[in-house]
Amino acid sequence: MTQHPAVQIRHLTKRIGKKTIVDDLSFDIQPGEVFGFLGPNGAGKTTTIRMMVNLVSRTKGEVFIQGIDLSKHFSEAMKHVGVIVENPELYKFLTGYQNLKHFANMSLGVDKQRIDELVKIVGLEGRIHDRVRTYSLGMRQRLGLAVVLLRRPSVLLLDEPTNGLDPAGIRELRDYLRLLANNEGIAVVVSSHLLAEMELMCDRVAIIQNGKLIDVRTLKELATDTGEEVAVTFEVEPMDRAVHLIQQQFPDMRLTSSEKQVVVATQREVIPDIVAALAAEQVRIFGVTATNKSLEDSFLELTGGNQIV
Amino acid sequence: MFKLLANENMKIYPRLRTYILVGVLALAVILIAWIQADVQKPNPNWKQTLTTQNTQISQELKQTKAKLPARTRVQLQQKETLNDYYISHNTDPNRQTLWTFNQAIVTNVPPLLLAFILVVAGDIVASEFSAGTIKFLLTQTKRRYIVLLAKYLATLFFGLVMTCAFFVISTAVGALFFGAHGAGLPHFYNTPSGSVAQMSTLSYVFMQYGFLLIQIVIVSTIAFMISTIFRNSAVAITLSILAYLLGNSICRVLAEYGFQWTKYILFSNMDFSQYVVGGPLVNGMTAWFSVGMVVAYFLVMNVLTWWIFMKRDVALT
Repeated sequence: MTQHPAVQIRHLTKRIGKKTIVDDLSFDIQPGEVFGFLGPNGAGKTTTIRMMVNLVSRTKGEVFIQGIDLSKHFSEAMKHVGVIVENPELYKFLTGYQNLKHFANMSLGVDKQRIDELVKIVGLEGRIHDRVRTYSLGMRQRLGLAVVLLRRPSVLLLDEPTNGLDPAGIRELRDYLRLLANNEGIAVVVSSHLLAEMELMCDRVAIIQNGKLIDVRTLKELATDTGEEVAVTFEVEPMDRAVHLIQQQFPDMRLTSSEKQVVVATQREVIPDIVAALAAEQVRIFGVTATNKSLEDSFLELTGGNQIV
Repeated sequence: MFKLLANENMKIYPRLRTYILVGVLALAVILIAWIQADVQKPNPNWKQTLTTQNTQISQELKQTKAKLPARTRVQLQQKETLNDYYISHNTDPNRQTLWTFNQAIVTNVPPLLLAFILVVAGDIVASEFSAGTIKFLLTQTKRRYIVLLAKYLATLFFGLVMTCAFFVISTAVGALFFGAHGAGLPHFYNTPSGSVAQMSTLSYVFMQYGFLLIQIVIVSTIAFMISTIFRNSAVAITLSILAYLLGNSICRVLAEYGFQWTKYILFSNMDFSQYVVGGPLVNGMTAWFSVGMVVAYFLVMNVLTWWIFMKRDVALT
């Protein structure tokens, strides 16, 4: 069953009139990974997620979930999918439990035990028989998560899941998604326009702009990529000797210095050599910090700044 | 399918809104009963009143001649014949029993009943869009047309339940105010051919409820279509009720002024009681013509509803 990628997207395209909102997206998402859609507002992230579950029709392209063609076998494919688009909007006039029952009725093979189990997992035992109207946003988020987990999906799609959550809520959600991906092998797809958030949450990120796939990056790879330049900050004394030394021994290295710090752009491999050279000449080293070129820089570079189209 | 219907019912019946609607309906029925029992005291000189009424009618018909719309003239003439019939059969038309009360209710209160049914019918699809719950509703394992079908059936079922509740309420209230008798008493009515016929009041009441149910199905279908087209429940409810109320009165006015094409409007054909009592809205309309019109409109509306719902993008709201 796991020989397929969890989700395969082929040539996904959405046009409305003359405007192309999503343009020929193709990629695979593997089981057990947290995959992020990153892009500025209006880049087509939400439309892409909605097309992945037939909320929005596709102009062109196919979606396969666990190898099942979504347009041909909707029910079979959707059995594996749980999706929350924007905020989890539930029936406010029903209780949390009634909401769970409602959506359990709409999915095959979900019994009462599973509902009770999920109520415990999301920690709503105390309030589950209250009307959703009285819930806080965090509680609604948790109830929404319970709704989509009813069917034990192997693919979880979350559109802007952290919108409106406080930092504690974001943290909680992040840990929980990580748990689902690692322990249950669920493929989690998250969309966001917030870079820092994606960096913390995802294994891989697809960068989307103007409906086009610009790049797919593995975040861990990005951090240790040997070819990439890193900015290394040295806290040293005396400053002038250190600057002189580095310029002498590493002539083609870009260097900036301030009163207490010297920052050089170099490869990760070279850092120990610089430290050794400084130490050999009796320069006192108080600290060495290597900063990876952040996803933010790559993102801004790729998308050409903050341009929102 | 059964589970989906249970879902829809769960979203209709336990809500405060539904109880308020039933409550207002009950209040209206009680109010009418109270007025009839208290204000319209039995009149020992009823024969004389009817005779006076008839003289007035004949005078009016003579004086106004061609000025009155044709339909109004017919209605006045029918009233005259009916009054003569009451007098010759020695039956007071204002005598009060449970079943005459039921008959009065089923001929006069349906607009209120229908308006309340439309609140639910107009809301049932649109509210899912308004509240955003449509995103969850359509991303379970059920296909769209099945979800919509469950909603349609739940709407029709609600119409039936409300009508039954309406019947039970008016029977209970009628029995309370006027005593549980009068089922077998004859009820006189004008036939389309201009004569007067009679039927037991019980049969007449049930016949009218039958015609009412047909109307409810059609009006619910209109509201359901509006609910699917307009994704805002407030707009959908308002438009549905407006369409029903205005549609009916506009047709009546158009028919009064003799526009023949009025007969092609759905609202002219919905009420089949016109072929048993009083005669058709537009001369020359037949029951089979209306059946054809209603079926045609019904099909078109349903095809449109399903087509729109299947095509609809649940886009950024």
